[in-house]
Amino acid sequence: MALLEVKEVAFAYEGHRTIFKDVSFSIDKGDLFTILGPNGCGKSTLLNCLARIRPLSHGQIMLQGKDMSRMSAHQVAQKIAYLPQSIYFSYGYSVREFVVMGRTPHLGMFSRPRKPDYKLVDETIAMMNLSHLANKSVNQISGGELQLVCIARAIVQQPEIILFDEPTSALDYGNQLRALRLIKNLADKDYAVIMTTHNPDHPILLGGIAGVLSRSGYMETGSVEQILQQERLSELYGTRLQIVYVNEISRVACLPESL
Amino acid sequence: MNSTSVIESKTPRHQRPLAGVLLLLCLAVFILSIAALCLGRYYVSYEQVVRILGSYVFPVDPTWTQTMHNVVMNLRLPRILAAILVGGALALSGATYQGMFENPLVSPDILGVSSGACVGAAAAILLGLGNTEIQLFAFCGGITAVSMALAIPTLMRSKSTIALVLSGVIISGFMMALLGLMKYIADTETELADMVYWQLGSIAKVTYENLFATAPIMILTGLVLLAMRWRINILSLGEEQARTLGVNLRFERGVAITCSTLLTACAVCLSGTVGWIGLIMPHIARMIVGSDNVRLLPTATLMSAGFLILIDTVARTLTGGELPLGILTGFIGAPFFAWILIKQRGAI
Repeated sequence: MALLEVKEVAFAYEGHRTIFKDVSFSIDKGDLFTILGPNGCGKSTLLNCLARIRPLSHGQIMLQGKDMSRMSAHQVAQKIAYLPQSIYFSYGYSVREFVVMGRTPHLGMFSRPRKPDYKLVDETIAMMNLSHLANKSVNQISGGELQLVCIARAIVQQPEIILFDEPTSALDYGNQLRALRLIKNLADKDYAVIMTTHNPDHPILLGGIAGVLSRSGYMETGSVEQILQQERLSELYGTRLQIVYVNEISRVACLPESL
Repeated sequence: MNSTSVIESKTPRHQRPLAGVLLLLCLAVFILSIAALCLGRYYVSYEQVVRILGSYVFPVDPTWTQTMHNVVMNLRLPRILAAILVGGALALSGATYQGMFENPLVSPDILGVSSGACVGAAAAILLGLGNTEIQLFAFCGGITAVSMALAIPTLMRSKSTIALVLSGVIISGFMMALLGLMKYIADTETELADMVYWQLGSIAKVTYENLFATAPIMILTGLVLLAMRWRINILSLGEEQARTLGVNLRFERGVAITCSTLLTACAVCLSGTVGWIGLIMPHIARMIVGSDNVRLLPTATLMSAGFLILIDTVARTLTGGELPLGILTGFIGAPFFAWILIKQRGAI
């Protein structure tokens, strides 16, 4: 029994075109799954369906053998953490106050986090080297720092699966690479990680498995080596791309032929 | 923990000890209450006030006149209790609404409670009904307005908070038109004056009967909101975040909206519409204890209770007559709000 099994799912907005269809894959502990596709192909929508923010039009998602559509938001959140592309704060919570919100799925409606919850929060903040930010307002830290803080909140949630929606989109180049390293570390720590990106170099750097979601709404899945083919990517992005082996860094890279 | 950051300059607001802040506020509310019992056109010394109050608990030899007793127990005490209830209720529901709607500019009558209550009260005045009926009509008017405001997004098949805020604007606008019509047909000598006075807010006519009728609902709904105050933090992150953190959004938001609406409706039917308090008190509290609703809600509630005692005492001692509360809270609230926004700049 896989940790998460996605069976022939489809999604369409009521009375509108289908966003994706026939998407199937399964992942287990420690797997790193990258969903690759151009802007507007429905990567985020697919991820939203996995987080149960949107209902499926067709198909089934099994979480540890249980049909996810029959589980409560509470039960799902105990297993799946979701990090949105951007997060907006109306109020200046401190980083510590924000990270403890990851405990929500483990607390009832009328309860509040107690000492053990705060202990876990402080340990996680220390582990991620964020102690200097703990008392800063979430509105006053940089985008890169906020990303780390969100990851800390996801860890505090103690899920088995972490979903990242375009985790690199708001970051500069150095922070993008740091974020990817962190995501890889999470997979090494046995979390199952699913992320979306439009950059073909990300799955190459991360390894693991990748799904390529095309504009027509179909997704092909396989190991990164197998799925990242020059022709497929060129067609996906509508431009000539080359997958070349670069001696200096001993790996392949995806490069455009020209503008 | 973290002693380094504390030393920096002063303690960050979200680290100030909550128990200490609340204790100070309780003390302030108590002192203001005693002062308000003393002050007025008929001055009663503070020793006498304490003795009169104490005589209900301990055997105390009466050193006061019947008039003093009457003024303290039957005229001033119900007003002070009403000020505590109304002030606390408006700030508590205001802070809850601000969290729920992810918007610090929201006040507790955003869904049309106040305008609906005004229409209800005006209708009762037009029908020539008494004080109790006016309050009952006001309560029903407020609840009806909010129910209508909640129904529109359902018809639109929208679950977003923006749709809810917009439908609140629509309902308030409609209720104001209704109120205008009633004022237009009202007898200018008697009925119109009553309507205007009611609309400006006052707790001069509050009796123990009114208090006993509304206090249980207010205390119960207030306690529910206080019990779920950490949850309001999660709801304030927005619908998507709350849902992926495992919140049963429909139910929990429903409970919070129901409780804060009942709370506001009760407050409005006790006092008429007292503006600004529900909007600014949470802001001031946020400046003292930070944004965490665990700390914010009790702080704002106590602060607002004390503030309304103060305002009401000023309203009845400043001039010979009774100044409506809404006028004072407006004069103080609006400039104060501007000051808060200027001071906080990017921080909200």
